[in-house]
Amino acid sequence: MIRRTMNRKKIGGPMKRNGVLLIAVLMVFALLPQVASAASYEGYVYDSYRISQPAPNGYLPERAVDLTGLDERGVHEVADFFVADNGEIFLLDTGNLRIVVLSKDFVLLRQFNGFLDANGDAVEFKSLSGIHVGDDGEMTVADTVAQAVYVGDRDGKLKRTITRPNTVLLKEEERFEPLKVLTNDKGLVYVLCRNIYQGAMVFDQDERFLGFYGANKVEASVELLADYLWKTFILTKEQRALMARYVPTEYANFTLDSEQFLYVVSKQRITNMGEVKKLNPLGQNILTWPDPALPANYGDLETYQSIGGTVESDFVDISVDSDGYINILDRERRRIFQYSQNSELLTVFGGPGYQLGSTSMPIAVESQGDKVFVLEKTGVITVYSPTVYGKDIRTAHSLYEAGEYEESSKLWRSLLTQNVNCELAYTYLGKTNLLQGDFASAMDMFQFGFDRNGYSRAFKGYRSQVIRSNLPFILTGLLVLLAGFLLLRKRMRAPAFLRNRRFTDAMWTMIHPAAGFDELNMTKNWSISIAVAVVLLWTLATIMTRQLTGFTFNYNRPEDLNILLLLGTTAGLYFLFTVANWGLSSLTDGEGTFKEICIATAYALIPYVVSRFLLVILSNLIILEEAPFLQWIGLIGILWSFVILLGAIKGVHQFSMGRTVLTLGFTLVGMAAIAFVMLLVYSLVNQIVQFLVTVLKEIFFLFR
Amino acid sequence: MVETVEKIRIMRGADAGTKRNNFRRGYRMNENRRNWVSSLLILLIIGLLPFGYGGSVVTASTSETPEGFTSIAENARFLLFVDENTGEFQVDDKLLGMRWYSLQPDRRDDLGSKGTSKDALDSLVAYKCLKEDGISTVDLTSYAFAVRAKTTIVEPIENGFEVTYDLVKRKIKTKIQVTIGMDCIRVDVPASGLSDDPAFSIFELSLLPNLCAAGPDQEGYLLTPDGTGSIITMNTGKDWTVDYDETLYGRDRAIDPEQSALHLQRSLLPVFGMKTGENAMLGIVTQGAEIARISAVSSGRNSHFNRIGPVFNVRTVEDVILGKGTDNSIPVRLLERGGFNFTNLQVCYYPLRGGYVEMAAKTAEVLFGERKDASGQEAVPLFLDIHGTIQRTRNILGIPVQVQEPMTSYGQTRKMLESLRDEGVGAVRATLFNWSKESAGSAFSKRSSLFGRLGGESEFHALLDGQESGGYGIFLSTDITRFRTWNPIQRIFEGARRLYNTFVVDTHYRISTFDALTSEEPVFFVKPERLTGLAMQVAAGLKPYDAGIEIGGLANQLYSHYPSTSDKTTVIQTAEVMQQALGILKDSGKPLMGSSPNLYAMRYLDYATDVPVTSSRWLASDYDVPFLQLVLGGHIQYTTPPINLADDPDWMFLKALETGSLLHFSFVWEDPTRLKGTSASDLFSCRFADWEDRAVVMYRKMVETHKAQGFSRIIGHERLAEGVFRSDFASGTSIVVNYGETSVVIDGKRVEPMGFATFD
Repeated sequence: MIRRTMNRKKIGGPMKRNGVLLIAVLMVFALLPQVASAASYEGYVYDSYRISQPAPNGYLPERAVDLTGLDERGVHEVADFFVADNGEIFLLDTGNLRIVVLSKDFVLLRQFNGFLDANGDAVEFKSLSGIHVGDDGEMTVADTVAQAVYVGDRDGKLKRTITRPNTVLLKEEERFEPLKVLTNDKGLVYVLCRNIYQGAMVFDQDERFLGFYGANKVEASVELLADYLWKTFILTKEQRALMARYVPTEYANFTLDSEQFLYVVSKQRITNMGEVKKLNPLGQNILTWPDPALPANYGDLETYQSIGGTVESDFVDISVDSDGYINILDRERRRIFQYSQNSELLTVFGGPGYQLGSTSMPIAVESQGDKVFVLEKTGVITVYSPTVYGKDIRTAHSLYEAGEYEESSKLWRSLLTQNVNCELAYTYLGKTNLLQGDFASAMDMFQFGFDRNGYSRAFKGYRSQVIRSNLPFILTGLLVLLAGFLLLRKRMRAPAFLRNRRFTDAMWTMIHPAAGFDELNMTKNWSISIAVAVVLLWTLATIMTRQLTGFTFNYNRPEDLNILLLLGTTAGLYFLFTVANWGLSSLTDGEGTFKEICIATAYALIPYVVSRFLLVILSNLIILEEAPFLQWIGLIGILWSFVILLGAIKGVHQFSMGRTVLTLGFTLVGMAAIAFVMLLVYSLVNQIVQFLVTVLKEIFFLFR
Repeated sequence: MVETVEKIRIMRGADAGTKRNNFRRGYRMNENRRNWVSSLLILLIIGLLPFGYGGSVVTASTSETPEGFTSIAENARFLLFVDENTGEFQVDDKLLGMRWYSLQPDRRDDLGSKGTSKDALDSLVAYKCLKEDGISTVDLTSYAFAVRAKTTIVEPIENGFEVTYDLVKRKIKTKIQVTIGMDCIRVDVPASGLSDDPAFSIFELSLLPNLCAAGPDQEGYLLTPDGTGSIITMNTGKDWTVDYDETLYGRDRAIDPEQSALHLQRSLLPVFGMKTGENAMLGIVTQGAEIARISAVSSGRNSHFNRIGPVFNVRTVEDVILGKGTDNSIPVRLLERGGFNFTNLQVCYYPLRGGYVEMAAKTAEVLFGERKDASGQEAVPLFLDIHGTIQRTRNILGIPVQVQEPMTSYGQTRKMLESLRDEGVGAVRATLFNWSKESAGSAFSKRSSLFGRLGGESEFHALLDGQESGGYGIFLSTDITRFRTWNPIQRIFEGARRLYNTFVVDTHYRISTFDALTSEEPVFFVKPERLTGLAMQVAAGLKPYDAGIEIGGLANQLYSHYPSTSDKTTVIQTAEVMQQALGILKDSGKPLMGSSPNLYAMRYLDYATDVPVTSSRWLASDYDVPFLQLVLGGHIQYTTPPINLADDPDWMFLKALETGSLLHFSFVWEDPTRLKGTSASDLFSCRFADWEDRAVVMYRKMVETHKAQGFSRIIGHERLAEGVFRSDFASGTSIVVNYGETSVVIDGKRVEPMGFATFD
């Protein structure tokens, strides 16, 4: 290592030709060879509940290469790099304003301080921020300060210069400051510019501006809507002009795959639309993800609170390898996340620090074959190679995509012995089982892999199988039951509580809400027991809905059950309503007592509660395509209860229908007011407690 | 203070000359006596003595006294010179024929260093102090504030001298004692000799930062104790990354529990070293290692010297945020009150000829004494971790309930061990984790309550009774350092406390965000004073069982305890208590096993599992060497971390061959999908049925490798090429391991990528 260091100082510098450097020297420099082995980071993947689970590392650092001592000029403040198919590495050395070309063994091959134009004059770089290299060695370079994109051939001869286009699509004040560039095999140049949010600018081979491509949309949110209303209806035009405008999330970087599809990655978290997109020629995202019912999010799904707020992934670059696997680089936690074309997270590697495999200021990611290269701003490149586990998961996935199901499932099974937390393996084994018609096993696998779509398909097959093979028994059983019921109907006597007058009165109100509650108001035949039972059953139904809804429709994590919270959202809400209504009825001459309001409201809940139980049972028997049945049952339950509630309030207070509706509306307002006051009190108490704790701690530190 | 100044004045005044003369008369050798005859005599004596000889032979030296220095002590091996104005010293090593310098003689040539860094090159001791404002820190050096101010006193002591640095302006005083032994140079800093003022509270003390140092013209390397051991090649100038600086024995668990982002290998031995040319200097922190860090820097950053040495955290400083998570949060820096957290710091420097292999041999000799070479006839043991139960949340009628889920019953454990025996595995040492209600819940009692669901008393006893016939040995895990509870009263009575006055908790962190997981039942560390009592309880509780003990956190968890502002138990004291506890367990007559044990625990153990086979792979380091295994070989049987949980099990197997480690696996019997989503989900590849065949193949390969000569300790190691290493064993067997991507040919034998070859 000493000799290497000393050599690099002695070997001569580059030769200059007309101010432009074109040099080819072989140079050995500080290479930190390390054999891939144990990592300085722990492997993990996210489960379907978005919780990190330990996993073997899919990638391990092979070596870290320090380029700061590359030659006598050294490499300072690098901005971007590109790894060509032949292994050559093109590095933008912004400190020296040059492009450095390295062999796959990190030996300096040549360097360019600028390109030579047709007259042989030098066009020197003023700054460098992005580079792309074509198959023929053609270099496309973004020069932000020069506000230009240069395209040079392999020998550094300038072929094209792209500058700000004259177009109405750009406002006058918008400058052309290219940051990242790409050239596809048709010669179209894509440019990402600073402060231009309409997407990538596209130029043809004649430097003509063709338009914008694939912009993000402004994400709709409650905050955005509130702001929009505020701006539209409250502020004047002048005031609006002074306020920040909403623009789509900016792209951090982009890349092309071997089929010339453009992939983009956004800087910040986009809640609903996904941070990574694969764009078709129309600029639409064609990247799929495992569960369309959930938002497609990339990077770290767990966050933490820092002094500056919630810390989330902050993407800076994306690369797609020759097998189509997508690597995205998160600057926040210095990690690389590798995804399949279906946005399945295969592995996570890298991390913050100063150990082999950790990085401190990563700015770009590239891939060649199955190897991944990460560039740090300081000029250090870390090379990662897949482990056996990493290779297996990629191969198993590729085999499945190629239709080699048998081979694929062997590997997936092997992967399960390597990592029991690998949900992907269960899912793909489930898919193979499904193709083989083994529905029961497929259901098990899909359940372990939390693939609800797959589970639903397997369940459909399983259900058909069960019904088909047991149809004679089922039909016979149903006929026996029916016959038995018809025969014994007259002899059967309902249990005593069902014959109880209070119960029958309550049930009567289910079908005749207006007359039923009027009658109850007169007879005062209210039942507290039934009311209490209904509220408790509501709570139970909510718990069961959360915990026991069929797997296809249930996204809750059973371990996270919080009975107190559910009690608050059922019984708590019930009492909030009754108290608000009672308070309001006192002011509006309602006749109902608090007890009557409570009981009547509970009666009104009966259809809703019954529908919840029904939903839990049905959700375990139906498949995804039949989900509208569940929605209808749920809706009928709610509407039915609402109608009864109208009758209940009307009957209890002896209001007219109009007054009843008005009262209900104000009851809701009253509930909101009470909730607001409670929240305020809670917040105040919390503040006081926090204050007292802080004071006590201060006192402790003062006298310790 | 007045007295001190007066003393200095006298020293510098008329009496100084007289005193100096006495000094020289008593200790300095007469230069006239240094002739070639005496030189020959010395060489003869040295030649007759074995290496590391004893006796305090004082004889004439061949060395010239350097200008400005006085010879102050001499024995058969060393001649110590001191500059009585500065305390700077040099040591002539008669055996190696070279001179060791406390300060590098060519330090003036280092034009790159400035300010405190430059002063540090002239200093025997450097300090980091917290100023009175409680926030800002300042770097001080003995040179800038004592030598320049001429407030340095050098006084002779037996076999050496004591230097007192009085940093008058900063009200700091430090006494350092330098003595020569028969094979080492010993440096002591007694706590009684260190004093400071609240205006400049010392919390870090860097001792002799320039003794293990070499200039840019020298070739060699620095050896760090990081994990298995790592090498920092000199003059690599890696100024783009951070210097190596790692705490010995792992961090104090009571301090800064939120620092968890780094995935580090612990330094199990308090050792560091430097090799230049043919010679090496080995440093061993013999007292105060629990509060020490090893700091190493390759030439290029701050100075052109390559340096390695110890830094002592003599007071605890902790940065905390008051009111974290609220609007009123403020950062506060806490400083341990009262005296320093040590009684004496001691570092012994052993000059020797050779490299890291010879340094390892010397380390073993100093720390462990005579080696016990395995006979080669005993069966090579295979080590297993077997997990009895796991805590899991089960959904019973929609209600989540915490249950202990059985993963391997006692009967299944027996089946497992017998199956391995039938496959030809000669001996198995199996540690049972979560084998009783107490071990699963980290509670303590005199009796262990066995799980009925694991088979109850009868199956458990059948498992233990089958040890002899089954050729296996059972170890029962017990961790008396930690307990798991929601009970606030138990925390108060049993929990150790941080400086911040909260409890010392064994926090689990989220892998992705590194923040603490608060949803799990908290695990607390036990007050150190309770440890010996608990050890007695455990010894009594396990007495009826014919099994060894796995010692849990006693092996590797260090923490201090601050019950009040006036009372504290430092990590040094905790380590002492832990050793007492280990002594109690050892006295129970049962064999002891520990996971990745620190030195203080290693001495009590028969087996060490999970001994690291890599370093932390700091970018400042260049490559790993099995220094730790070279030290441990012949003293203790050691294993790799569990092979089945490694990122690449084949690579881990090769590492076992290279480092002479025994094989280690971690198993459950039942379907491991039950582990998913539990606190044991890191056991992601551990089903016995999936691993049995592979484990047996690996075991057979290992036995086959050592078949000719029998399994024995590693005695030599060499890096042949990038990714190619040769290990030599006491039996005469050599193994070449190739981690590279291309095959290599060694002595006519082809070694395939990720393969190995044996040479007898």
